Amino acid sequence: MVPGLVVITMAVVAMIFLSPSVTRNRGGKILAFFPLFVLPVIAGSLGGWRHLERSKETQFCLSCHVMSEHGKSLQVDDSNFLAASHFQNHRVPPEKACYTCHTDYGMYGDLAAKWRGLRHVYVQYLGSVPPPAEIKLYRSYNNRECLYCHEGARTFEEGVSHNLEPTTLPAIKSNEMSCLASGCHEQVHETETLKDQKMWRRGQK
Amino acid sequence: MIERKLRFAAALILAGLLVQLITLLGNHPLAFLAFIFLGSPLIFAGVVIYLYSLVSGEGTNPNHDS
Repeated sequence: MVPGLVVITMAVVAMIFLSPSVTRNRGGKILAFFPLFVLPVIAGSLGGWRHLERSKETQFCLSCHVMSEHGKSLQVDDSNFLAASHFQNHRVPPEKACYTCHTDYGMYGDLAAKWRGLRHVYVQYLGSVPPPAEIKLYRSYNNRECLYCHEGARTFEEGVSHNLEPTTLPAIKSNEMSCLASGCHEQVHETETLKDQKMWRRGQK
Repeated sequence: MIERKLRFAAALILAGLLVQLITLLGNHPLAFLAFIFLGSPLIFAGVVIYLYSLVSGEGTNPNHDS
């Protein structure tokens, strides 16, 4: 739809470009308002929205070579691998797997994610790209991102390990005890171990 | 004069839309960046020049006004 609108807009703008004399009178000036203002603004806005939506896709994130190992880690045949088990069991939308876990569920989460994305592109093309195993988060993972889905869920609220101590669940919810660094869900991507892992393929048993 | 400005505005918008069309064909961070830093500014500049040509009054010619 958006490319079609862009092509139509280009055709109308081309008419103005080829014969600007149609805008000579007042009626022509008003007529030119659509191809030179309304249509480009609509086409540009829809194009921007389309780009933003597509930038949330797993394929988009994995299109950079440096992310290929993280992409492979989604296929590990081991339910202890957090990213793989979420991806394979559709606990996150597979087509937006990276974005779902790595955006902030705060007020400006989308904006912050895009800002970090620009930084990634800068490092990819102008900086020095670290090996996949050395890629780290800018700051420790916030439980808020896990709780966005898991808070209130029975398996989370009543889980045995989450209720061993009366202080555990409140500590998790307040981000004092990390879901990832507490010895519970610590295997996430583990790209350095991938060569030793069995991989899962959809449709194979 | 206003026709030259309109033609220039149309050329910028056309170039911006062409960049946008090309970037929509691929799903890659570079396509996203090309849209943000090349396509969008071209479209924006074209629209601004068009609006400026309207308010600058250079085209106000009663003989041509129907």
